[in-house]
Amino acid sequence: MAQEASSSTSSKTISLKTGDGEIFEIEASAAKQMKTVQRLIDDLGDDITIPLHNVFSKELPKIIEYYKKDITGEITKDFEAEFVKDLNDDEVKVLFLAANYLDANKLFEFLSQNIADRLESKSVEYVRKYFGVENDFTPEEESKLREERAWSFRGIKEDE
Amino acid sequence: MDCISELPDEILSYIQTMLSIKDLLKTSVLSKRWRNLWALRRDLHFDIFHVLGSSEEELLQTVIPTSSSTIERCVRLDIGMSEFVKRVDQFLNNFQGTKINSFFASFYSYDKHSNIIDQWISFAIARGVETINLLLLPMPETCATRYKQYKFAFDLFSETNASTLKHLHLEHCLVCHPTNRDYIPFQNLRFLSLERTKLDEMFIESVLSNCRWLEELHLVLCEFRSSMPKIVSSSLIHLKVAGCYVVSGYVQMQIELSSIDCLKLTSLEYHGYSLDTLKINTPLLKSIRCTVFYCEDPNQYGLFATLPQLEIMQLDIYSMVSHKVFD
Repeated sequence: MAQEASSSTSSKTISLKTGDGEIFEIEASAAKQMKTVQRLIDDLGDDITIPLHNVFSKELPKIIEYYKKDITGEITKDFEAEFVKDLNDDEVKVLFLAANYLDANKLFEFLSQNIADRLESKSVEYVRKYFGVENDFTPEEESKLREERAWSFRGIKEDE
Repeated sequence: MDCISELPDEILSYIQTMLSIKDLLKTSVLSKRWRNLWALRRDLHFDIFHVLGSSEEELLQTVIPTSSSTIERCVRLDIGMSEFVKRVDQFLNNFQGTKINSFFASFYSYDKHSNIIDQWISFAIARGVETINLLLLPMPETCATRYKQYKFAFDLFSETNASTLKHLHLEHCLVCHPTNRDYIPFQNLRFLSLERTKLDEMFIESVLSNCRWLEELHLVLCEFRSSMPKIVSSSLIHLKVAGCYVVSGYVQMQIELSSIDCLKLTSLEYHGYSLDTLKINTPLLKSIRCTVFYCEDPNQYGLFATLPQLEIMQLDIYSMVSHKVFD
């Protein structure tokens, strides 16, 4: 690879390798938005393939798609709605955890809101499973809490 | 990491800030850690939609004239608001956080809820709140004669002086001067906005002289005791006065700004009857936006031409509409 000391990286692409061994390219300006990636670039150099152990080939393309739009300033509410439209709750969760790992702030905030929206009217059991929470209340403690907050449990949809 | 629960508290609490009050209370049942997490919430926001939920929005339909009787509508609204108050109370009683940044409450209220609102304000002040927005809504006009406004009493703050409070916005209350006239809490207030409140002009003059960092003051549709307060402040930067009046007999009479003596003031917004009596000492004033109804002699506005820093002036006179915007 050419060893030019490029001060302008706008047209440069970075190679990212997922945990399951696939390689994807993104523009350097998009990589800048993912602080974890940028840190790795700073440590390893920008002409080396950056390994991302915790991100996989299923979700990385979606993340790249998001930031491709971000660097051209085209992220709108419609785009974001479309982005998550066909994703199920688990797919959003995986993206969210990846965004967190990559320290990709904008995507992280957007997905946090989307998760909060999706959890509206879900049952406590569903949310426990979704977040991976272990219930450490005794049955008595839990039923007391539920009773006190009875009004917040009305209107819960059936778990899918 | 494949489990959201493995994330640190700050991140989980971030998701929580996006949940409505209803869902927030639900998450407090997930586990002990989650119950303690929501104590990290810093901004408390209670409005009818978020507290009563969309399924009870039909309650709000009672405010818009429909075929049901007036009494029935008032009763239904009353019941709805009692439920609102009960839920907010429950939330606050279970809230274990020790610091909050802002407290916002907006609902249809009258003096029946006085003690409870007092408690909420005390609750917020005790946790170092910096911003209070209390936007009370008036009960529908047809019920008005039976309901008195909530009285916002500064005696509530005598213990802590509310020294953390920087931003206060009140709508539709009675504002009562502290019984000890020399005592003004909120010495660090930067922003004060009063809309549709009833108060004594001496209170405003007191605030202006005691809150030495007050930068912005709004007085909108306020009812004063007998006259417009004199606006004298060495710190005030933005002033908005609109539609203020006094009540004499049963008649509402508009009162006009008469005196502004603010060396740092850069913007003024005024909506009233006329500017005939206005005297100003505002050498740094850059922007004026006024709407007046009456203008006998347009030359009187020449007083604004003497302002050395003036950049924007917008003047609407209802008897003859004209816009002047110049640098």
